[in-house]
Amino acid sequence: MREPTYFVLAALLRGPLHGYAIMKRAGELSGGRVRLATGILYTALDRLTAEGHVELVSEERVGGRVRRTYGLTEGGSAALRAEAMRMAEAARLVIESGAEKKAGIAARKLRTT
Amino acid sequence: MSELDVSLLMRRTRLLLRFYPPGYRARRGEEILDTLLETTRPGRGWPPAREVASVIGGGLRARRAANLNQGLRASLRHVGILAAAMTMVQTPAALLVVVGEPIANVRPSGLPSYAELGIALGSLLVVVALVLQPHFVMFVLRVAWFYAG
Repeated sequence: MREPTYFVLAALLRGPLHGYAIMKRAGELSGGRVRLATGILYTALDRLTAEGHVELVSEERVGGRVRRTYGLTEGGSAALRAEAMRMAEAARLVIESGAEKKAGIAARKLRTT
Repeated sequence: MSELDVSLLMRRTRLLLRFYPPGYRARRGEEILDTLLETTRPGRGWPPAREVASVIGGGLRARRAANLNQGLRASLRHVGILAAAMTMVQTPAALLVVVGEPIANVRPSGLPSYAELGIALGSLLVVVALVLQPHFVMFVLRVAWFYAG
């Protein structure tokens, strides 16, 4: 799963949002790293809807224009969770071995002094 | 921001949506327009450049998807139009080559003849026009007009 996709799904964790709100929320959640542009967002929403990860929740008219709200499906939540677990595993590999290394260096220092 | 500026921004943004194929525009156009306008700061005449670029990219992608899904009959029609257009351009160009042959012997070596240039330019125009399609050619002209105005 690519990072923008991950953050689009993550943006919907707390509940359904409309297009512009998804862009803003994905930006906030990623610390500004994922800056979705309109065209990219809708291409992603098309794909995620086709895959069954995201669904249209409601449709309202605001000042003559359509505003559609999208939400996570069960499949979407599961896919997001699986990806989060995969990244957590990958992160643990590095972070824990980093801690061991530090401990190792400290022990060696003690021995030499 | 005056009302005139808002209507200009709206017209430009609607024009931008023409990058999407008609069916897609009917389904999603208003929604994308709404989002694009939200990304535009008040007083600006155009949505931000990266938004414009993303819409052009997304539009072309949607066109490609629509072309792939159009079915055998429509595909054959497109191929037919393409073949007819190629013939129409290349027949006069080929004639020019035949007629231009004696002249070509006189021209300084290393320079392409007018006939060769004609073929290259004609083919390029046909390919461009077909890729863009008639609606799209009109659209490009209107964009040019917008920039000029």
